[in-house]
Amino acid sequence: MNKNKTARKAGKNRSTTSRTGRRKPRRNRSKRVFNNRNLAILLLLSLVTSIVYVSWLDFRLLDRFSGRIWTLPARVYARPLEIFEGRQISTEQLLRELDNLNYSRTDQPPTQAGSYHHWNNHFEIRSRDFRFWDGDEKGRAFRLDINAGVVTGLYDLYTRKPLTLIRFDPAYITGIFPAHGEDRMLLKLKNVPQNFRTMLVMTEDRRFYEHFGIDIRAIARAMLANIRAGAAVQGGSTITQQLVKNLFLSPDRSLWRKINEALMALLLELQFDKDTILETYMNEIYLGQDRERAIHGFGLASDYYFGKPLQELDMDQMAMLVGMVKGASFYSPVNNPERAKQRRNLVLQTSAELGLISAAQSARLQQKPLQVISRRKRERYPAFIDLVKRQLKRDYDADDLKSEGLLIFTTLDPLVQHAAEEAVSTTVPGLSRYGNDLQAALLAVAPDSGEVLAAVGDSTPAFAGYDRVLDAHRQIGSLIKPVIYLGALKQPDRYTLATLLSDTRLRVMGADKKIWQPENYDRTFHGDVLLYRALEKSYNIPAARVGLDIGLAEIIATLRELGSDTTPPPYPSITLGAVDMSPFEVAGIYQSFAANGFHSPLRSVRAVLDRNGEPLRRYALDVNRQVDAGAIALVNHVLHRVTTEGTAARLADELDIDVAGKTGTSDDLRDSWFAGFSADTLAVVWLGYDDNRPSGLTGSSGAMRVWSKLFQTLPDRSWRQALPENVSLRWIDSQSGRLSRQGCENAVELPFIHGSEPDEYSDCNQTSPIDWLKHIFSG
Amino acid sequence: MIRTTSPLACTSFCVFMLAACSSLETPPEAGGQDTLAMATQTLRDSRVRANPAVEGLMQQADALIANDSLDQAEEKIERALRISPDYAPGWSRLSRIALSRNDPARAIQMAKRSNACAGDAVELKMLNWRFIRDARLSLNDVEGVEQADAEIRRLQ
Repeated sequence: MNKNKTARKAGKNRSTTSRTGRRKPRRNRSKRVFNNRNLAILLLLSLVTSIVYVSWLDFRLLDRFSGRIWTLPARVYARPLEIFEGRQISTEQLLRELDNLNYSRTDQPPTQAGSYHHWNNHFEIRSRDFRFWDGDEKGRAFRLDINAGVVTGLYDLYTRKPLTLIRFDPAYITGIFPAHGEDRMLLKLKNVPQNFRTMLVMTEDRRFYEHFGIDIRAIARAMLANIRAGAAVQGGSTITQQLVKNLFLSPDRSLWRKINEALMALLLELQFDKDTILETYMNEIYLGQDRERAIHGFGLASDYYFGKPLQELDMDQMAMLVGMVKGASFYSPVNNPERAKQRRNLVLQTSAELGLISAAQSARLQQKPLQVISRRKRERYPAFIDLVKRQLKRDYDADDLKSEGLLIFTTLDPLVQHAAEEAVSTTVPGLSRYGNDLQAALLAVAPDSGEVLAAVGDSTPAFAGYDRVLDAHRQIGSLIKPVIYLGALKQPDRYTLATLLSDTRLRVMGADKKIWQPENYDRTFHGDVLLYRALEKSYNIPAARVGLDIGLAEIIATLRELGSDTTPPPYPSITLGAVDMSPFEVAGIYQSFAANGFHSPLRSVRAVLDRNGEPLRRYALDVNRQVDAGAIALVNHVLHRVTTEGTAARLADELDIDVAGKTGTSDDLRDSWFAGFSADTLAVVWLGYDDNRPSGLTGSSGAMRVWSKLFQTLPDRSWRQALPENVSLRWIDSQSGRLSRQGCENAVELPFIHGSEPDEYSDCNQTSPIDWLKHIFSG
Repeated sequence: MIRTTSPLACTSFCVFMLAACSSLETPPEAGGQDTLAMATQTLRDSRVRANPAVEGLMQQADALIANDSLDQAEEKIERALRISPDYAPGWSRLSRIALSRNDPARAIQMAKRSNACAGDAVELKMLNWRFIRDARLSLNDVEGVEQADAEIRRLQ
């Protein structure tokens, strides 16, 4: 108890003494030990935390830089223009192609890749290097002459030696990017012009090659300037800091973010050399917005604003891009051109002050306009891109297309596409009879390869909405007739072009017990008509009779042989085209006609390369002949007659070349079709309303007008009939279908598969023995 | 355009052809390797001539075929055919490549396409029929081989 009391007292005393100060040193010492220990622990903890944190930051940096820093959208290219002596191309078309490729026109022989000099019908061109599927194509300096729409001279610009073939770089069409996302074209630093590199570094971070990630002097200078101005008017961020901020951090202006930025900048500089940092910065920087697409990096910005690679930019154009780094929206040449120009001029002025260019040069460049390309050039070919996506869908995930940076080489011919767009946009408005929402689709194909040359999916070709080339499944009307007659003519013992068909009233009961009674468009009956005439004039009743005679199975089989996988419904009305098809499907069928029976599946992509230009996949030319060559030749002969004597006879007056084709009109004039071909192009045109109301247009009064307009501008060669060995021509009396003679009344020359020729003679063919002898010896 | 022939001329022609056919001998040997070996030379000698651009691409293609770079050779040939779609030796080379790749169905189609535009280039047509024969042989299409042999005989 006493002990306790004593202890309590002692405690009390300790307390008291403490207050009096007698025991204070002892307590302070103990507290200091405690504080020192805590401090040490705290310091240790802080150190560990800092190390962990810095390691984590370092890990983030390395993780990002060791893999692919960015996902890249696929880049889609048109076909490359190939030039050789004898190629058909007009001066205007070549100029359009060069404009499409954004080649610069010069007043002197071109010294820079991607430029040309043009006078009269002569061109001096310096083409660009490009990597294709089959290897690198080196740019060349060459001269070419065009006379009357044909290349008549092609030779080296300096040695004057003749050249056999020049392949241009292909025009960039578009990228396939996510709905909301970043787009960029990766640049290699070694390909960046030294002037641009210097201008950028001088403008953004003059001591880039001297500091270690952060620039104390720049920060101090910025702070001073900001204090003086009373606001944040200057930044002291280095290129490294900006890159770190863009890649890893939020755009807020907190102290914590600044600390992180500085730390990561230091780490970045420790881990990577200056060139890697600068190259990454050049590819990362945000430089504008194209609707939902963000323009990143100088590579894409150069293409987006000027339509050409960075290497080909003039100093003023480089200055504009460098100026935009400070604020892509604020200094946008599209939305704020005046401000962008002022900023550009400031960059030029600074460049002059630092000796990169002379003062005089700067003054001259400051007078130049911004020269940003029009928006029209950037909104390209939505219907064609749809085709590309559908073809690639078989082999690539949609995500891969948007992120793997694939290089896609397509079959699009910008010259044909331009002509197709012009044909649609200038013709369709004048054809609208029941409202101005008449719609159109057009597909142009190379007959011998099935390569899609052009696609228009809307009466406003640049509108990227409902794509009627692929998705508008409409009744094809009389476009089915060549298929029906082909099915019949494959049986030469039963049908020839001279077979008499009955064009009289026809009543048929369908499988659904409904009576079907077809009529001709002119509501009259024509009695007995020869098969070729029935097709030429597109009479309905003879076609129905033939279709019913050969049967649905034969029609489907013939469609298959022509490359179609459509299965029509089992109604008699399919013989008159009551079957829904898209323009794409129709083009697939008519391609087989245009290629004399050799079907090539339609394709819009030739090859795909990976982001480094290494070949991934090629879509090879394919042909497959299932259908009889002789029967195809007979039908094609009549399809040519359609354009000279039949429902499309107007074409003979409108075109300078021979063509073959067929009109198509569905019930109540809801759909207007034309499918036809020259030696070089097959095109299918559809017109109609999306809600399927009558258009008031037949095939010839609607779609054929657009088709004709297209072929008036294409530099195509005439369609020429190639008769197979088992087919030859005979003169026939067009009334009776019997053999006749050249010069006889109603005589018409028609092809026949050997052994199927008529064996009876018309009255005119019964000639005197003298005439007979004359005929023999005249050959 | 094919001119109409008189009955007398027709009769004379038939008599001549019958005489010619009677002198034909057994079908030529046409093993796969032999056919491929003779292909390039025949194609070079082919009477079908094209513009220098096409010829240049064909030379490159031949060099690539010799080097067994068939994909790239095919690409060169396709470029040539875009310039000149009816250049029969081009289609014939595609048939040859398909045979080398053991793709007989494609070889047959390409050879047929070549024949369709070969005009009167008899040697080329014979070569194509040899390709078709070899392809059919690998498909065990006995009837098809016989038909190809008959065509080769006819062309000789």
